Amino acid sequence: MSDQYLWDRTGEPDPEIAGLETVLAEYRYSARPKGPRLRNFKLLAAAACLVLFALAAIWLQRKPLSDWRIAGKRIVVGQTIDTGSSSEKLEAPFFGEVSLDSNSRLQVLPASAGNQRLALRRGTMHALIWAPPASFQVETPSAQTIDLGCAYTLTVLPDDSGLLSVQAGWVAFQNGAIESFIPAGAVCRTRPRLGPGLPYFESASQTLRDAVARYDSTSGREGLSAIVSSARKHDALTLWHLVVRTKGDDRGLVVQRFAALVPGIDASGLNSGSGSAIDQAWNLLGLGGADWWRMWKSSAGPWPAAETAK
Amino acid sequence: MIALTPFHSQAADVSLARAAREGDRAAFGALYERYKPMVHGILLTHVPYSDAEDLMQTVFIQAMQRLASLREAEAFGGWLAAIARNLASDYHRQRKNLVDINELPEPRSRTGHAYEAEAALDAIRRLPEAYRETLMLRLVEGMTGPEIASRTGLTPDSVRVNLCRGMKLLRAQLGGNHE
Repeated sequence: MSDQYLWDRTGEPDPEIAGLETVLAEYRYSARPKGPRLRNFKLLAAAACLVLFALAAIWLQRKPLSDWRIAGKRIVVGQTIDTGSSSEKLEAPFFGEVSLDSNSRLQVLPASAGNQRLALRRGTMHALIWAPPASFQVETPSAQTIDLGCAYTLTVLPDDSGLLSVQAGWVAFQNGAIESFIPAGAVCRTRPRLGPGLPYFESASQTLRDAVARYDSTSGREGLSAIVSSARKHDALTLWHLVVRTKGDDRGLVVQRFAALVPGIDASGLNSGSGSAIDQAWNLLGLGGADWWRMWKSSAGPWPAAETAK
Repeated sequence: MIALTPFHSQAADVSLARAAREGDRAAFGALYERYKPMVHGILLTHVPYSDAEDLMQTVFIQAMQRLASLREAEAFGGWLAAIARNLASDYHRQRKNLVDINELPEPRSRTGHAYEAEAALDAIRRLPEAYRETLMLRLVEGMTGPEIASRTGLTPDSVRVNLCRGMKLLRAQLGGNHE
C-alpha cells in the first residue's frame, strides 16, 4: 500500500488509516462537549431529548442566534449558560473566545453588528479577544468591562462584587462616570453600588493593597494617606486614578507623591484638574499614550472627569 | 489591516504573523483560527483531552503577550508549538510528575467505538517522541503532511519520515485492529 494517503489524503485510502481517522475524530479540537454526561437511563434521556428538541425548535424560531458557539453549536441570544461542575468554552469566529470555569453563570446579550455583549452573573470567565478595541463588553452586577485588548480574567462573587485581572492588553472597568483603566499585570475590584475601585499592579505591597481595599470600600473616606505613603514608582497607576477621583487637599497630597515618583508632571495642572495635565501624567507612566484611548472613546473624552469623581 | 482569506499558505501565515506582531488583532485572530488544530494536537499528545482544551487559551494568551519578541515571522508556527510544549511540561510539573498521561482516563461514553479510540490515542502517546505529535496532527486533527510541515516548521521530508515510521510502529502496536 502506498504512503500517499498517509501523506496528503490523496490516492487510494488506506483502510487502517481511514479507520483510525474515523475513531479518533472524536478527540479532534471541539469535536465534542466537555464534562460528564449522563450514561444511564438511556430511554428516559432519549425521551427528554425529544421534548427538549421540540421545545428548542420552538424557542429557536423566536430567538436569534448569536455568533457564540459551544463545541460548534451556536448559542441563542438571551441564553444563559450554567456550567455546574464542568467548564465550558465559548467561541466567536474571528472575534475571540471565553472560557467559563465550573459553577459559573453567563448570559449572551443582544449586541449590534460587529460587537458582542455578555453578562457574567456568577463565577469566573477567561476572555481572549482579538476583535477591535471596545467591541466586546461584559456586564457584571456592579460594573461593565470594556475590552481594549486582549486577555483577562473576570470573577463575580456571590455578594455581586467583582475582580478583574488583566494578562495582556488593557481593559476598562466602568460604572456610570467612574472608570478604571487596567493594564496587563494589574487587578481591580468592583463593588455593588460603589463601582470600580482603584487598580493596582499584582506586584504591589500588601500595605498598598490593604489601603486600596479600605479606600474602595469606604468610598474614599479611609485609606488615602496609607496609599500615598506606601506607593512606589510602579504604583503610579493607582495614584493617577486617585488624582482624578479626589479634590482639594486630598488631591494635593496625591499629586505631591505622584510628582515625587514621576518626574516631569504638571503638578499645578493636576491640582486644578486640567485635562491636558492628566493626559500628560498618563503618558509619563510609560503604559501607552493617552492618544490610544481616544481611538475608542466617545467625544465625551477619554478620562473620568474630575468634577464627577467622588 | 491585513485582508483575511481562506487560502492557507505559509506566505499568508507569515504576513499574518507580521501584522499580529505590529498589533493587528484581527490578524492574531486569523492565526488562532489557522493554528488551533496544531496547538490542540500538540497539547493532546501530552495531556488529557479535557485539559488540552483548557490549556489552548493559555497558549494563545502567552503567544499574544510575547509576540513582540518574535524576531522571525517565518518561525511563528514552530515558536507557537514550543509554547504549547512548554505549557504541557508545566502541566506535568505542577502535578509533581506523579501522573502519567497514559494512566489518565479520557472522558467519553463507553461504546465499543470509544474504547477503540482510547486505545488508538494511548498507542500514539506511547510511540517514540519524534513520531507522536506528527501522527496526532495527522490522525486526530486531520491535517495533511504538507499542512503539518507548514504549521510546525518541520521540513516536509522530516514530516514524511515521521508519519511513515510512526504509522508502522502504530500498526504493530494496534495489531491490525483497524483494518
